[in-house]
Formats: sequence, C-alpha cells, structure tokens
Amino acid sequence: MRVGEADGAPLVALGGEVVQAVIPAVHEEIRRATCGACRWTLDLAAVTYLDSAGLRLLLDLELAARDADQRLTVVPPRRGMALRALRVSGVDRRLGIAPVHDDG
Amino acid sequence: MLRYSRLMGEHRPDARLLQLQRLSRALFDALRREDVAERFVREADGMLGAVRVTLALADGDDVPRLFGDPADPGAVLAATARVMGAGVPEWDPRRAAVPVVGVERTKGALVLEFGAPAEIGADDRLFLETLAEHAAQALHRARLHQEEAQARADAEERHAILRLALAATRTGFWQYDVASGTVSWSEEVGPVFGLPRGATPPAFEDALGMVHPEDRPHIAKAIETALAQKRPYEATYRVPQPDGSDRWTLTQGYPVLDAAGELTGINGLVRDVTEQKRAEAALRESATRTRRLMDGLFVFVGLLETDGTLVEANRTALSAADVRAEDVLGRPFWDTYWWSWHPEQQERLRRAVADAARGRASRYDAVVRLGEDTRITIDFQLVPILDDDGRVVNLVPSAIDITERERGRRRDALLAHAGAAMDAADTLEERAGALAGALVPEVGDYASVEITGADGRRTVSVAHADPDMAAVLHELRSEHALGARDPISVAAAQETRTPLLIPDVGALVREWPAGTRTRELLETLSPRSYLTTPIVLRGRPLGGILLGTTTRSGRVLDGVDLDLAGALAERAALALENARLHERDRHIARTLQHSLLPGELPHPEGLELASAYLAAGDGHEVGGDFYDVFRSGGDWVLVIGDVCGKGPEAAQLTSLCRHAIRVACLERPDADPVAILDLLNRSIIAFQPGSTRFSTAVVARVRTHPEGGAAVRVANGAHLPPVWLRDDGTVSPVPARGGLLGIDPAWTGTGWEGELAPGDALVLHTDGITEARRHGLFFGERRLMRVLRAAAGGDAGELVRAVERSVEEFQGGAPLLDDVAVLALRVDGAPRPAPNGCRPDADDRRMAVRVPVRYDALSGARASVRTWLQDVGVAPEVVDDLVIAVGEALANAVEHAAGDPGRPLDLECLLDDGDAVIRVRDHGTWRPPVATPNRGYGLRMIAALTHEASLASDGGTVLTMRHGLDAGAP
Repeated sequence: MRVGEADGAPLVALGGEVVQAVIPAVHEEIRRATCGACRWTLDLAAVTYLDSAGLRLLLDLELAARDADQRLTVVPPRRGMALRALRVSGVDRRLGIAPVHDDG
Repeated sequence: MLRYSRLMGEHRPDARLLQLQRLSRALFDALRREDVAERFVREADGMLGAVRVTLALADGDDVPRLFGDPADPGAVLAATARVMGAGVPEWDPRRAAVPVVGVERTKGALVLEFGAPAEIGADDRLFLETLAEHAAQALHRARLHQEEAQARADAEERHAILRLALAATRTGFWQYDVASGTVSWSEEVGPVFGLPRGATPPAFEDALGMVHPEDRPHIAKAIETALAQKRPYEATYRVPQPDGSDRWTLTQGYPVLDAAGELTGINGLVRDVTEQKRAEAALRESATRTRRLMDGLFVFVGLLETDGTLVEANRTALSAADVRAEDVLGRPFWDTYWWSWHPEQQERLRRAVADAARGRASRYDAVVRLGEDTRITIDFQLVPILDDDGRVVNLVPSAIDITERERGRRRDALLAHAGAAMDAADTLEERAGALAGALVPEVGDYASVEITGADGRRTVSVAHADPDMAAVLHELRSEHALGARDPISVAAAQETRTPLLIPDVGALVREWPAGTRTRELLETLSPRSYLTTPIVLRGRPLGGILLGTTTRSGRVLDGVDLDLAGALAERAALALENARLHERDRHIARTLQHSLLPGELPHPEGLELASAYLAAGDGHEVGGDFYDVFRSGGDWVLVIGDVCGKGPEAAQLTSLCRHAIRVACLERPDADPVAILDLLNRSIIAFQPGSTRFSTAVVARVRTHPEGGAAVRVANGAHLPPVWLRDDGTVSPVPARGGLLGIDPAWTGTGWEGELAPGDALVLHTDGITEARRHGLFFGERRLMRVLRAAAGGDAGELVRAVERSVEEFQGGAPLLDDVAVLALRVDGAPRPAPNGCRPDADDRRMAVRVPVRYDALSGARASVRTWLQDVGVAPEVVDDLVIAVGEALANAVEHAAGDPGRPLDLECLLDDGDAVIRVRDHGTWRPPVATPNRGYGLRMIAALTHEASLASDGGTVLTMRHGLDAGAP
C-alpha cells in the first residue's frame, strides 16, 4: 500500500492481494490518510486479487466517503482476476467503475 | 409376403410392406370367410389406383360370390372364371385379375378394375400376387374355424336329443326274482328290446337271447360275476330291432339280499343309450375329419387344453420336428420338443397360453426347433376357442414358417450394417476388411474381399469364423494364385463379371495336385460351398467378393446368398471407390508435405537434432506447419513456422517461407535471425500481394564452441517461444519477440542471444501441441514444459519422442485438430539417466493440499490451485474464476470453522468426467453467521463463478464446487 498525493488530494494505491489478512491494518491507514479531505483517489491498478473481505472493504470505503461528503475516484485494477471479482460481485457498479458495455 | 419382401429389400423399404402388414392384422382374427372377404376388400380399397377392388369367391361349382362393388360384375365374373381355370393372373391394363388359390375348396380371384388403362409393373404384380396369397391363407383359416364350430354344434345338438330321449322315459325299471325265476319290468323297457310297450317280459335266461350275439358273452360274464360277488353291475350292449337296426342299451343291476345275506333277486334299470352312442360316434367322426384337415395343411396346427396341455398336433408339426404324437401329447406345450430348446421361447409361450386362457389371442414371431436340431422362425398364433357361454374351452396354436421372410429381413440389416461399416473405415484395405468382417459368420464361414489396384497390386482382406484359420485363408488367397482352375477364384468372377455359386466344392479340392502347399491349405480350409461375385464400378472390375462355408459347419450357400453377395458387391464398389479417391488425396497431401520438410535431418558435429511431424485429422490435407535445418557459414540455422490455413495455398506460402529464409542465409552467411525474419516478412508481402495470408516463424542460429556448448541467437515472428531446457531440468521460454510475418512491411522484432551449456536443449514447436484440446482441456504450454522437464537429460530424439508420446496420450486416440511439428536441438553433453518420474507434481487428475486455518496461509493455497489448473490445461478465464471461488471457500472456512485450529483444511482438486471439482473441508462446526450489511458476498460469488456448489456436513463441513470445462462461463 502506498499513500501519496495527486492534484492536492490524497491518493491511496493498493497492490497485490487485498484479502482478509491485511484488511484491518489497511483500513485503518486509509482512514487516517483521507480524513478531512474533500476528495481522494483510490488506485486499485496493481491489485491482483480481491476476496470478499477486500470487496467489503471497498464498499465500506465508498459508504464512508459518501457519509463524509468526499468525492471518491476509483482507478480499476489492471489484472483480470481482481477485475473479475469486482464484476461478479457487482461492486464495480457501486464504485462507479463498471464498463459501459458489460460484455461479461 | 416372402417373395415380395425379398424383392423389395433389394431396393428400398416400401409402404406396401406396411400395407401388407396392416392387411394381415385386419384379417388375422376374421373367423368367417365372409368377414375375411369383406375386410380384405375394405383394406384393399383404392390399391394401386384401382377404382374398384373385388374379391370373387367360389365354393364348389357355384357361381362365384363377389365381395366389393365391381363396376362391371359380368366382366369381373368372366375374368374370375378365366384366371381360376388357367391358374395364372391376367394383367389387362383395365382389369388385373389374380387367382386366389386355397388349399382345398377355397378358390376365387382378386380383381382390380382401373378407371384408365394402367401399367402394372413387376413390383405391382408381385404385390398383387402376395395379396392374393394372403387372402387365400386368411380364407383358409376362416374355413378351418368354421368347420370346427360346425362339428361342435353338431355334437351339442345330439346331446340335446339324448337328453330329450332320456327325459321321455326311455329309461325303464326291471326286477328279477331268484325264487320264482321270473322277470318283471316297467312299460318303457319293452321297446328297448324291440317289443311293444307294456309287453310281457321274457324269462331272465331268454332275455339274454335278445342281446346282440357279439355282446352276449361279456354281459353274461358281468351278470355271473355280479351274482357270485353280490355286487352291482353295469353293462352296455346292443339289442337287434325288428327293423334290422341295433339299439344300444345300458343295463344296471343291483343285487337284492335277504337278512342272511343270501341273494333273492336283482333290481335293475335299462336305458336306451343309442342316441348318446351315435353322438359320440359323430363327434369321433368330426374329430377325424378335422384331424384329416389339419394334417393336410402346410401350417402347423394343434389343440391345447386351457392349462397348456397339448392334446392334438397335426402331422405337419409332428413330422417337421421328427417327433411321435405320444412324445408330445399330454405334456405342457412349452415343454415339448419344439419349444424346450430355449427358456425365453418357453416363457413367452407360457404367457401366451395364460393370455389365451383368459380369452386373449396372441400372435408373435417365434423360433422353434425342428428335426435334426434345426431352427425356424414361425409366425405363431394362439387363439382361444369359446363355448356358447363365452367360456374358453380350448386353445388352438397355429404357425406358418416365415424363416425365409426373416432371412430377408436379416439380409436387409446385414446390407445396412456392412454399408455403414465400410463407410466408417478409412483406407481401401480397412473398407475391404470391414466388408469381409460383416459377412462372417452371418452369411458364410469365411470371406475374402480382393481388390486389384490401378497399379495391378492385389489386396486381400479376409475374415474367418475361426480366427486361427484366417491366416490360412489369407495365405491361400494372396500367395497362391490359383489361376483358371482356382476352385475359389475371384479372378474368374472378375473376368466373366458374373457371379458364381458352387454348392459343393469338395471334388475340386480333391483333384488338386497332392503334395502342393495349395492342396495343403485347401485341405486345412476344407471348403464346402462357395460363391464369388465381382465388384464392378461403372463397367470397370475392381475385384471380387468370395464367400464360403466349410465342411465343418456343413452350411451350404444358396441363391439367396448369391443375391446378397451381389447387392453387397454393388455397395462395396462405391465404398471402395470413395476410399480410393480419399487415399489418393492423402497420398498427394503426404507427398506435398514431405516436399516442404527436410528429408533427413543433418548430423552436425557437437549437436543432436530430432524432429517429428504429426498430421492433423485424417491427414488428407496439407498442413501449414514447417521446419527446416541447414548450414549457413559456420552455423546451423533452425527454422520452425506455421502458415495460416491448410491446403495448396498454405503449401505455396510454406514453400516461399522456406526458400526465402534459405536465400537470405545464402546471400549473407552471417545474417542475424532478426534480419532473416525481416527479409521473410518483406518477401511474403512482395510475392503474395493482396493476400491476407501470413505466417509465424522462429529462426535460431546456433554456433558450437570447440570447447563444448554453443552460442545461440533467436528471432521470433509471433510464433510460440522455443523452450530452453537446461541439463538440470529447468525450463524457460526464449524471450525473443516480434510481430506476425506478411502483414506489415515495417516488421520489428527483438532478438535474443544466449549460451547453451553442454546438455542444454532448445525445443522449437508449433501450436498444434499446445492448442491440442480434449474435454475442454488444452494441452498447454505448461504441460509441454512439464513433459520436457521430466525428459531433461535425454537426447534430442528422446525429447521429441516424449513430446510426441504425451500428445498422443493426451489425445487418447482422438484426431489432432491441428498439425504438430517439433524440432529439438541438444548440445552434446554427458548423457544422464532420465529421471524415473517420481516428481512431486500432483498428477493430471487430482491435486490435494492441507491448508493451515489462517488467513495468511490462503495465498499459497490459491497459488497451488492456480498452478494445477493451468498445468492440466484449464482455459485461463476458467482458472481465474475457480481461483476466486476457491479463495472465497477457503476464507469462509477460516472465518467459520470453530474447530481445532491445529487441524488444517483439506483442499482437493480433481477432474471428473469433464468437470473440474474442488472440495474444501474443515473440521469444525459452522458458527452461526453474523449479520452485517455486506456479508454474504463469499457464497454468492462462489455460486456465480461455478456451475454447481453444495455444502454438506459430516462432522466437519465440506463445500464442493463443480465447473464443467466444456461449457462456457456460468
């Protein structure tokens, strides 16, 4: 996980496997990094795998951003398996990263 | 029916056979001749386009009675009289008349009147004659039935008269007194003895004198014995009447005893039983008549009690089976000689008897045993006979021999079977073999199908019922040209182009010069009869069929078999010609393919080379794969490639590629592989303008070092990367890259340079290997790597063979979808024994791992599932889905399993009948789920990603997921 800044807003980049084992730590760090921002970006490009706990984390983050009136931009994963998990679970639509033409 | 079906069988199945069957069914239970005639006319209405169908029936000398509605009754009657007289049909275009000839008195004609003059072909004629035969048989059955019924009615009537007679006090009473020696009787007794009613009785002794002289001794003895023993007696005797006739009298006497037991007299009854006797005689006479009738029939007829006991069987049935009446009568029908040979036949008959006893007639085809242990197929009927009250009193079995009809049907089946077998076979020889195989043992004990090719080469395919004899037959047919005297010669049939049937070939064999190999073979084969028929296609003889029987089986071939062989020869001519054309195609393809591949690989110093080419499908098309090895400067150049498409155009491009590469190296002996491919790319575009054909290719330039090892440079134009196999078993794809060849004039590629150590190998291959696909699994690059890894250390030939073998194993006999080419190069090094296959890899069917109950252990478990699925060739997108699903299953198990954390989860993957099955088992009980808003994704995702998922509990919890590999994504 990498925390940085882009266009003056926080940028959180996740990579590798986002699974139950790593979630408590990641969640806490993201909260700290984005606290008080009015917009921030979650970059999932380097994520290779998401399990259902990882998907839940993304939904929690989206919900929290909405509650805090933050604008959240999500960069979708590049890798097939993580993308497939998002598609199958429907979480991609909740995050606003579903492809326009759903061919899956 | 028989003749007709045989005729039709040669051409096509016919609606008429069905019509015949329908007719036969309609007539089957018609019990009166009128019914038969009326049903016949109804069923035959409109047949062959006739406006009127009339059945004329004559009884004795009467004018025939017409059934139907003839347009011109006079003409129909006249035609009937003519054909009945002549006994042959008349085929007048306006009126066809066929005689109906029964066994006895049944006579008549079937007359069809046509609106317009009709052409009555041979088929139609045979059909009408068959109809007439049917009518005759049905009429005959009806007559038989009517006679039976009449005899029974007659007997009944006489019984009634008897009853009346008895009721009319034809029974009288008499008394004899010992002391007085006098007889007294009631008035009815007088007439019994031919005296007036009320006449005075004679003395007891004189009464005996009134009895018929022939009957006196036995009645006197009966009385004497009765008196001596003081017991009642009964005697029947005749009493001559004044008019000269005899009356039958039944006398019963009851001795009268006094208190001391002394005989004092006799009380008796006299009854006139003449009518009863006559009725019995009439019944006997009727039975005799029926018997004569039955015996004269060509059908098998009998009579059964309702429990199935055989009480009558006609002579035809007895003599055909060569049994005596006493051997079979009184026994259950199913236990008799005809039926006892087969339990199934017996069982079926027992059911039919039970049905008939309940009033239901049966009709079915059965196989019965006749004399000398032969079998025939019969059309068997079992019909109940009812009395006036509708009770079943007897059963009548009857049967007609339909062996010939059955034979016709089997022959049709054989034709179809042999045709299909020939079509399924591939080469000419296989087809000939399939034909020979289909004939044995159905038609003959052995068969030889002999084909003479365009080059004069004779191919002999044989089949023999005794497999040990096949070699004898083959040697005889293929190596001992028997010439004009050949007792089993196809050559003769081929020359004369006519079939030949020799029922007994024994003499010819004995005449063959003794001491020769031919004679020896002939004697071993021991032919009994044989036939030959030429296989001729459009007037050109291709060969012949020889079909024979042996003296051991004793079978004798006949004209029907000859017809069958002729029909098969026609069928074979087409099948063999097709195979010949097919083989020519394949031969051309093979020749062309060989011209595109190097004939024999060179043997460069310090290097080993080996290659293999497996053609796709049945090999009658030129594939697009090619490879080449040649020397350039001090180097060796290896080429492998795959041109898109198949057939002549692909072959042209293949040829272009090979030559362009060779020319490039000729011009610049040190040309870099990348430069060679660049030139090839431009050549394709230049020489095939406007074509969309392209190629992929790998070029490797190898230079051996004097001290061992070799430097290698590789360029790759969109081809599968060559595999670098190191001596120690590590494998890696060679990372040279580049685009497709023949598409873009500005081709770019990145070459690769490396050093091959002694024992290292470079394996070039085409995608026919990795794309090989079966049950939804790809052979795959990983499998190829695994095979090579296992074969590491072997020489180049061993590497190629290992790949070839594993592809063949993988295909399991299924044809390849694409050509496969493999070219292996190995740098000389110390050979090492190949490992003996005890690698820790999971096998191709199953993989199992134990996973600690911790989240951080799941990543490794997912990776092993992924590796195994990829190794066994599961398509990449399916691998992704299954890995996600298994990840969820594992996470669920970790989350929910409350059991002992020291007991790991069991994860098992296996291939089961085209499905990938994954099981995750934990050893705890499930915790009740905790409700949170976003829960439940795991199970939902598993359901979405697999075709089937189920949970079972057996102490622990087992989640089973199943995914069909042939089907698409769920």
